Amino acid sequence: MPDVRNWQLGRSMTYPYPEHHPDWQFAFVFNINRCIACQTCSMACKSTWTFSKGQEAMWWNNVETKPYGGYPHHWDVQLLELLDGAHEAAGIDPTWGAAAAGAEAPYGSYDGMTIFEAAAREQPQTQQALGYLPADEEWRAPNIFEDVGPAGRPAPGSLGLEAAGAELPEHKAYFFYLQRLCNHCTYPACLAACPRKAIYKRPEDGVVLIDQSRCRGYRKCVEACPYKKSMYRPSTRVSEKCVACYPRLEGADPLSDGVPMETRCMAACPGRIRLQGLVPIDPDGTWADDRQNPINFLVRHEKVALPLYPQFGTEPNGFYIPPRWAPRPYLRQMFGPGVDEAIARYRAPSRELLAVLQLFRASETVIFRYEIEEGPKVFENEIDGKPWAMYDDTVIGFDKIGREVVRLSVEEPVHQRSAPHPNSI
Amino acid sequence: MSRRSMSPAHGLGIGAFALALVLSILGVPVTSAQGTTVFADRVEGPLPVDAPFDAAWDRARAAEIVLSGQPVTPPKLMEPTVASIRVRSLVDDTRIAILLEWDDATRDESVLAVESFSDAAAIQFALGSGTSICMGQQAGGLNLWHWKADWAADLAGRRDVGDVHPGMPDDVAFPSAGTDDAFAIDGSRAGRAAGNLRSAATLVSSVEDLNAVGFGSLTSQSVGGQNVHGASEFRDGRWRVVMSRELAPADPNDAALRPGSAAATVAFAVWDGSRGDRDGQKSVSTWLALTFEPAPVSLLDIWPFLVMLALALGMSGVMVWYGLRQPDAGLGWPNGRPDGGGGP
Ligand code: SF4
Ligand code: SF4
Ligand code: SF4
Repeated sequence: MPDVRNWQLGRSMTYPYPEHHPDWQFAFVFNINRCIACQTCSMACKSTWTFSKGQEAMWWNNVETKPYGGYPHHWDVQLLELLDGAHEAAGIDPTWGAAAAGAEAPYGSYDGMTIFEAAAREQPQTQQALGYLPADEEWRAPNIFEDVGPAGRPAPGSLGLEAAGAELPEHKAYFFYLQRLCNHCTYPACLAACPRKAIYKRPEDGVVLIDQSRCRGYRKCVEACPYKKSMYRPSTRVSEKCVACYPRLEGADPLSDGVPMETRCMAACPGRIRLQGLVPIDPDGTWADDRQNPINFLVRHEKVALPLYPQFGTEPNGFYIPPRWAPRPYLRQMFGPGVDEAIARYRAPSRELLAVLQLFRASETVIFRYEIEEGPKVFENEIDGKPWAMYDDTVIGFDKIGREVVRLSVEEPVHQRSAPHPNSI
Repeated sequence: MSRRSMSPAHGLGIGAFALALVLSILGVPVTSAQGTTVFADRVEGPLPVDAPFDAAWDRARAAEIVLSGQPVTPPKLMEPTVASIRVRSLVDDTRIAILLEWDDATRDESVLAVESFSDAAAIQFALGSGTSICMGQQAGGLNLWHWKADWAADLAGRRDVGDVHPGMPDDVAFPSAGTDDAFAIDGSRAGRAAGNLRSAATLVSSVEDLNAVGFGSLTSQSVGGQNVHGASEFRDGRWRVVMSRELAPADPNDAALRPGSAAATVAFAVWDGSRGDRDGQKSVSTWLALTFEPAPVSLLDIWPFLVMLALALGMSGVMVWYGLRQPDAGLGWPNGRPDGGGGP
């Protein structure tokens, strides 16, 4: 099997196909801290793509409650268990070697096995990736255990509330929402496992699609996708998955004015937690050093947004700003060793980060480049014992062909009406 | 050990092998035990294409074909889920029918749940010489007939989610039940819109007619090219599936079968749905010959050979008996029985 370079693991890994990279990669950053689990995103997707017969249990986008929830049920716990079993059988204790961290290994180097390596270790190798096929009933609840968190250890007579349950930096009683869709992975497990070669990654934007004419409903992709984002549709007897709203990405939607437009689930988010873009990819698969691309800045420069379960090895292209109140070991298991740094940077954002965070949901048009106009200092404070200052900078976003699409200041402009009309409309 | 004494069982084994060898040379079918040739016998009366349990099948020669797993390319199956199949074939002037029969504890004919897979069986024909058994290759492709239990069950009427989930909200079905449009204004069936046979509103047969030229290349023939007829019945833990077709259709993608010409090269595969079998996770045979040789005429026609055979067997029996009676002298062993380890 060829070796491919996975920057999220800081090393090469085995994958059934040799490297071949798109010019641009569909990618997104979700700020978990802001999500209210309103499921507007889920409904935006469903009402666009999956409202037909046979798609009743199909949620290409879903928002689930961690740590107990999961769609399909306990998908991540089940996969972590499988991977643990493989490591135990191999006598490997998977760790991240922080010493190796560098520009192309931002989280250090993972020395455990990916789902591809765990499958390859089985001799003879019967599958392309370690995985499992969730049964019908496991797909029924897109947000099971909604708002349920561990209770901590409440004192007797405290009505189940822990005295220190909500103290930062880590809440003892906590939950958070995880927003999920297909990660349009760089090394998709769905694609690797499809014996029909019916799944392909588009060279123009890295979007991963299932050819509906070639799929034979084997469900090997459903079994192999570690994120369980390839789904089987009984009424057509074939599998379907998130299409990254490709007509919008292509600028083919009538509303898009001919330039790439953010997907339905991104654009609908009232919590303003979502920012989606396209990042330029060098021929060798590394992200081109395009600091003014907001996604690139957040992920590669500021490192405030992290991949979901990077240890699975698919190099997912969805990135999350971790919830700052959740227990760190749980978050490290989910987002890798970059968690502490990411939370520290989010708690005391740099001047540039604070400005770029304003771009979330500022426009439906994909922002390819941003610029910042500096403004005055408006606030001073101390965070973690260090001085911190806020500046009313202005961030300007540009579309693919360089037209200005948004202009926002860090401080929201306020207009105070005159006294005679305080409540009039 | 130097001493070679032959046990009666050993002698019998050699005798049986000699018999099989002679019979094979004579063309007497011993394939029900050996399974390398499938005989297409001429049917007396109508070809039982729709009757897997028709008495005509009992008169056809059955080949017991041993199956193995598929250990070549992922997804693999290391141990077969179905150990063997019995294959019979009948022809008339224009058509060929092939009957596959195998034991299966469960009748799996629904693919409506994420985790449910269908029982299935396939016959593959080499379209050229030297074709790889593993899904063919560019130089010599394959023609495949793929019967699916779920397609057979769907022939009467296509089942849908409501059949497995009666409680599924059904007040509004998108696209509405009346329309067969793949892209109706109120909903879509992407697979159907893409022309995928699996998603088709109506099926013409329980057998899909396909071609392949290597792994991952399996492709359905066009709707108009689907010319393999299927009939199947599950009885007492046993599937019987008949696949039938015109002997030599004009379509170059269809394997042409001509009685009187050289044997066709065929292989078989079976999937057990409840064991999760699909795609490469299948129990397969090696290449076999499908011949149109007539059944050998009665034993009376080959009496000289039988006499010779009897003589040969008799002589070898005498020799074995004689050998066992020889004293052990001269071979370094004391008189009497050799030690227990002396025999093979
Ligand atoms: S629309 Fe936004 S805020 Fe609402 S659930 Fe989805 S991601 Fe969260
Ligand atoms: S998330 Fe799953 S379905 Fe999406 S590209 Fe990755 S492996 Fe494939
Ligand atoms: S990108 Fe489009 S298709 Fe994918 S989950 Fe979001 S709305 Fe659905």
